[in-house]
Amino acid sequence: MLGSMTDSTTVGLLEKLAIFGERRQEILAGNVANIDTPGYKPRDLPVSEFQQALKDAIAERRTPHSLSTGLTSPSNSSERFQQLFPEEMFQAIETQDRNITFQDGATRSIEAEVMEMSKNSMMQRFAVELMSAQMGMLQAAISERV
Amino acid sequence: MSQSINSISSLKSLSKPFATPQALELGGDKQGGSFQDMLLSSLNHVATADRNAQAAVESSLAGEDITQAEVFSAIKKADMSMRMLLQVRNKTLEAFNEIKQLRM
Amino acid sequence: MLNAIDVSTSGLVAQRQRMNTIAGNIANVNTTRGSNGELEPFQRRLIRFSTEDVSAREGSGAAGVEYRIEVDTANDPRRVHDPGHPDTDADGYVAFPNIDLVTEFVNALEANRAYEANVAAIEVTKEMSDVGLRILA
Repeated sequence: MLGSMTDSTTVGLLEKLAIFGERRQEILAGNVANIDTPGYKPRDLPVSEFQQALKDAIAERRTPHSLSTGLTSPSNSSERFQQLFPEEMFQAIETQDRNITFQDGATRSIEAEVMEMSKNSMMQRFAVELMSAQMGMLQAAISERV
Repeated sequence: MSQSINSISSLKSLSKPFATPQALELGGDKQGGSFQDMLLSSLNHVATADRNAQAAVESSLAGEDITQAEVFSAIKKADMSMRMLLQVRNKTLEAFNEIKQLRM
Repeated sequence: MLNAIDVSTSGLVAQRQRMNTIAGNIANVNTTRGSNGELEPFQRRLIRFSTEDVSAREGSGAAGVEYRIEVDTANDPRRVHDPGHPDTDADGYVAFPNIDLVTEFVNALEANRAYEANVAAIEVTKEMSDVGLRILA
C-alpha cells in the first residue's frame, strides 16, 4: 500500500538515486585511499548509464497514459524499476576517463577523485532531502497534524 | 533588493486563497463567494503547487537545467500550501464539532 | 551547482601539471645530455593554458581550463666556457639548458596561489549548496 501511495511522487526515483550515491561514495573513497598504490586503476559505478536510465524513467512518467491502465503510471511499478535499474548498474567497473597516466602505469589524479566524491555527496544529499520532504508531506496528511 | 521584494509578493499569492474575509458566508450567490468556493479554489491551488513541485524534481532528475534552489523552493511551497490547507480543514472541523455540541 | 565543481577541478588539474612542469625544469637545470646519452642540453618545458570549449558543459556555459605542455624553443642553450668539463665542444664551451631558477620559483609560487584559489572556490560552492538545504528545513 505504501508503494502505490508514493507512486505519483518521485520518491521511487529519488530512492534509486540515493542508493546509487551511497554505493558510489564507498567506491570513490577507495580510489582516494589507493591514490599511491602502484598499478591501481580507479573504479566507479556506470554513471552515464544510470543518468540515461533516470532520463528514460522521467520520460515515461511524463508521457500521458490512458485511464484504462489505472491511475498509477506503469513506469513506477517495481518490475519496471528492476528493468530500468538492473543490479549491474550498482556494481563497480574500472574507469579511464578522468585520469592522467603516471610512471607506474596507474592512472589517477587526486583532485579528480576527491572532487567526484564531493559532487557525489552533494547529489546524494539532495536526493535524500527531497525524499524526506515528500515523505514529510505524506506523513502530515496521514496524521492530520501539521 | 528588488528580487527579494518580488519573492515576498509571490509569497503573498500563496496566502490569497485563505485570506478572503468575506468568504465566511455559507452558501449563497454573494459576490464574495461561498465557503465552498474558497475551499475548492484552495484545493486547486494545493494541487497545482504539488504538480509544480513534482515537475521540478523530475526536471532535476532528468539532468535538465534547473538550479537546486528552484527545486527546493517549489517543494517548500507545495509543502506549506498543503499544511495550511490541512490546518484550515482542522479548524473548520473543530468549529463544526463545537457548533454540533451547542445545546439548543 | 555541480558544474562549478567540475570547472574548479579543471583549474586544479591544470595548476598541478604546471607545477610538474616547473619541477621538471628545476630538476634538469644542469642537464647537458639527452635521454639517449647524446650531447643535447635539456630544453625547458612550458605549459600553455586555454579556455575549454564552452559547449562541452551543458547548461551554465561556465568554461574550465585546458593545458598543453610544449617545449620552449625560444630559449637557446647557455654556453659556458669550461674546458675541464667532460661535455665540452670543440671550442671548450659547454651548452647548459637556459633555465632561470628565479623565474621557475616565481612561477611555482604563482601556481601554488592559483591552486589555493581554486580550492577556495570549491569550498564556497559546497557552502552554497549546504546553505540552500535550509530552504527545506
